[in-house]
Parts: sequence; C-alpha cells; structure tokens
Amino acid sequence: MSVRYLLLAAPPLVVTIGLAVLAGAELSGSHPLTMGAPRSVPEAIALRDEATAARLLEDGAAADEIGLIRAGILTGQPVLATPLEAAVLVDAAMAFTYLTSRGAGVTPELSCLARDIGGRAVPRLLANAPACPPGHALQTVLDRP
Amino acid sequence: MTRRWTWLVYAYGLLVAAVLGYFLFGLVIQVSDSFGNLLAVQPPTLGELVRDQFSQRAYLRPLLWAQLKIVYELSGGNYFLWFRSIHVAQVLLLIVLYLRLVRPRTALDAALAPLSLALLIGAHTFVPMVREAFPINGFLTTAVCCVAAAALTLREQSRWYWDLLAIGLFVGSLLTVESGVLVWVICVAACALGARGVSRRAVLAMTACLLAYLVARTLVLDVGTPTLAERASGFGFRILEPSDLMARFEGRAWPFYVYNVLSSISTVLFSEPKGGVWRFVFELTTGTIHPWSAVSVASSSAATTLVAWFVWRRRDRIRTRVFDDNDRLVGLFLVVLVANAVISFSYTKNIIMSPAGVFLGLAVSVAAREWFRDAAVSRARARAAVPTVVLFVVLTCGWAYRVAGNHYNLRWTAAEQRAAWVSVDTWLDRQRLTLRGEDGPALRDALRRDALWNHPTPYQPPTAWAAWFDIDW
Repeated sequence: MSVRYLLLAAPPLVVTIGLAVLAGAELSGSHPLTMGAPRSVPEAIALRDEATAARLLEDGAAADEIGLIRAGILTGQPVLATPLEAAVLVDAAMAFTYLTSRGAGVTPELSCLARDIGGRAVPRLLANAPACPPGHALQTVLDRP
Repeated sequence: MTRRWTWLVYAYGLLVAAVLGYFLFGLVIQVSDSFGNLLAVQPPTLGELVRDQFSQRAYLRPLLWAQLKIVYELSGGNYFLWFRSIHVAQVLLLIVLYLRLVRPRTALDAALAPLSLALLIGAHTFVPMVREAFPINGFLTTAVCCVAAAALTLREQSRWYWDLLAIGLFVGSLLTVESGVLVWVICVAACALGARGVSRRAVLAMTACLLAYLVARTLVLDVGTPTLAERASGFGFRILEPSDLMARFEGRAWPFYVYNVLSSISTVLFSEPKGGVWRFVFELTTGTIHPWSAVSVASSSAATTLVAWFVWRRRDRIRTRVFDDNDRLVGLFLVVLVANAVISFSYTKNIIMSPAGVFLGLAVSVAAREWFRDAAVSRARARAAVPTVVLFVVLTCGWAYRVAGNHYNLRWTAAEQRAAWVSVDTWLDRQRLTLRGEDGPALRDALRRDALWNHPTPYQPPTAWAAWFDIDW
C-alpha cells in the first residue's frame, strides 16, 4: 500500500484505533483520557454523573459531607465542596433537587455561590441571594483548606 | 490478492463495530421512550398487543411492539443484556451489509474503507440510532432493511428465495416503522436503474402489498398521519412546541411541510439544518461558531461535492441509461434522499433521515473510488492534485472528528440516561403513569438497579471537551 493510500486512510483509522486502545485500557482496569470513577459524591456531581452520586448516597454517604473534587475536574486545583455546592458549581438542577430530597441543607451561602457562578438552572430553585460581596462565596469554596 | 484487501476491510469493519459495541454497552435502557414502552407491553398477550396497534392513531407499528414484547419475555428479567445485545447486533449487521455494498477489492478500496465507515457512523443522522433505543431502535431496523434490500437488488441474478426475502424485508420493515416504505422505494428504483437482483415479479408483489397497506391504513383502520399537535419540531432558528406550530400553521400546514421536506434533504447533504433548526447559520450570523457545527457543515459539503462531481462525470450514462452498480448505488442514494425527505413531511428529525444518511456514505464511497481512478488515468493529473488534497483532507479529517464526537456523545449519554433513573418516580408522576400490580414496580426496580448498581456509569471525559464536541444534537 502506497504512502498516499496510508495518508488517505490515516485520520479515521487513527481515531478508531485510539478508541479501541481506550476501550482495551478500560477493560483492563485503567482509564486514559478520563478521571476514572468518581471518588466522592461532590466529585460525581461535578462530573455530571448523578447516578453514581445517587448510588453513593443510597449506599450510606452523607448528603452534606464535604468531599474532594480532584484537580482537573472543575479547576486546575483540587476543590473541597459539599454535594450541594458541587451541584451549584456545575449548575446541575436535577442533582440539586435530588440532594435536597435526601436531606441536604440549603444555606443562604448557596444563593451567593449560584450568583457568583452565573448559572441558570439552579438559581431557579433557590431563594434570592442575600446581600453578600460578589465573588466571596466562590472564593470561600476555592480557598477551603 | 483481491481477497486479502476484502478481508482486511471486513476485519476493520469488525473493529469499528466492536468499538462502537463497547460504547453501546455503556448505555442502559432509558427512562423516556423505553421504560414506558416496557410497562405497556407487560400486561397484554402478544396477540392482544399486536391487535391493539391496529386501532392506534397517526402511527401503525405492530411489529415494533411485537418485537418489544418477544424480547421482553425472552429476556427473563435480564433486560440490559438482551436489549443492549440486540442493539449491538443491529449495528454489526448494518456495518457488514454496508461493506458488502461498498464491495472492497483493491488496495485503494481498503484505503478508502476507514473514510467510508466514518461517513456511516460519524453522521448526525446515525447518532440517534445508537444514542437512543425504544428499547429496540425501529429506525435502525429500517436502515438495516434498506441496506439489505439494496444488497439484494444489486445481486447479479434474481432467485426465488432472495425475492421472498426482499418481500419479507419490505413487509416487516413497513409494519415496524413507517420509514420501512423505503425498502419498496429502493427495490423499485434499483429495478428502474437496471438492477436484476430482485425480479420484477417480486417488485410487483411488493407494490401490491404497499397498496393493500395504504388502503387498510387510510380506508379501513383510519390511522391518519401525525398532526401539528403531535410533537415539537424545528423551524427557523428554534424548536416550536405543538402549541406554537398550531398557532402558526393550523389550516395552512403545507408551507411547514415543504419546509420539513427541504430541511430534511439539506440536513443530509450539508448537515444543516439539524432537526429543522439552522444552527450553523445562527452561529455564523451571531459570531458564535461552534467547532462541531463548522466541521459538520464543511465535511458534509465536501461529501456532497464529491457525489455531485460523480453525477456530472456520469452524465452521458444518465442520458443513455446504461448503468453499472456504482451508478446504481449513487442513483439509489438520490432516490432514497428525496423519498426519505418526503415521508418525513409532517415533522423533521435527524433520525428519520438515517436511511438517506447511510446511502450518502455509500454514494461517497463510490464517488471517492472513481475520483482516484480517474485521477490515475487523467492527463491533467498534476492540476487535480490540489483539489484532491483539499477535498480529501476535509473529508477524512472532518469525518474522523465526527466519529470521535459520536463516541464522546455516547459516553456523555451514558451518564445522562442513568441520571434519569435517579428520579424515575418524579418522571412517572409527570407522565401520569401509575405502576400497577407487582410487575410494574418490579420492572422499575430492576431497571433502576441496572442503571445505578449493576452497570455503573462509564468513566466520563473531562467536561472541557464539550467545547469541541456538540452534545446537543
């Protein structure tokens, strides 16, 4: 087969082989190109994997517990957040509703955080933000030790 | 030597099907359009279920429901494995039949095979056939039947058993989804183009079946067609809800129907509009072009250009009506494109145009082969080098990108589908569905357990990738 033919085949071939390698790697237990399985309820929500978040909660995880969201998921730095904060950070309304139905407590700070994020879906589920300095709620979450 | 390339291409097809199958096994039975359907097939017997379909309005799909019932009963509660396996088997069958029509024999054919398959599985009309299931995707069944019918018609000689199979494919697909009428269109068009794989007698028998179906549907069963109030549909730059459609078009629906037919043709040729919405044009005018939209439009336009070039090259043959199988395949694409668009007059969705999308891939495969053969013997070889490079860089890179996006989409869909199971009771309330007896709650619990515990969400790619791959098709 000539070089010309190889060049012709290359782009879709590379994608298919890449996907095959990804599938093979996942089947053998590693997870190239992805973050792997979520390790906490907030991280599952940040990855938009609400089913895993629900599974962890229904298996006994606390709905209000602060959990680690690894670096590279929300920001370049790791973030410590509660499940509800994670739902606000990614504007996941369905997860937010589910968490409140599981007993997670809604605080006024969440309204401030939602305003800082500028989301559309979650703010509809929250009361109007109390007077709070712009950006302060978000910075509080990001600065959490 | 010839066989070596053929086997190589089929092996590659198997790899493509295996990778797609792996991603398909990441999906679960979805809540919308699937859970409700499974609840509906629980109480009645197979006979009652099929009989009830003949008194439905707007749609006549008895075999689709029969398939659901049969697989549901056969599964013995292992719904995930049975329905997912059927989905993967359908995709594998489609790929094998597709490659049979491409007829790879030479090194050039083998080099073009990755592009050819990328045109199949990277198309936006293909994506909904794998993203969704109801829980058996009737449109995928139709696409398989259409490609199988084309393969039968392009055989060298007719045989009574192939004729019977063609008739069976037509009747089966027509009673599964209305788009199944395209099997008849393909057989008639192939016959008119001089193909002899299905006899004229069989085509006449199919025509008789179609007439009987139309008479029964309109005069006996009074099924009708979907009305404006049936569902939302894209128009202009947005989706119009049924109430909006009624307000705009009630009593004078034909401009909307013409819009749908033209949009359906355009979406296959140019990936624009999608679902009736002119998204790329909107992005262009507002300066918010998404990479996915731009690549989709560019790669589809390149594919259409190649087919147009092929038709122009064969203009003498069109005049003299002497065709070979390559001409017939391109001819079938054009006929399927128009027929497919016409039958989707009442509302436009990407999935309805999936058969035309499949035949576009076949037509481009034929045209690409012709392009390189022509370039090899052309005197103006050097002059053709630049257009060849530009055209095929756009085609191969563009469609490869679309294949990657399709798989990304399946991964994202896997999480989305499972998320719906988290709050399935809320969905039931919204749909005003009540779970009756012991079977309903048992089915809900089994499917929710599958989605959340037995088959956890596949690993999700970083959300930043959404900027590169469209996730709202």
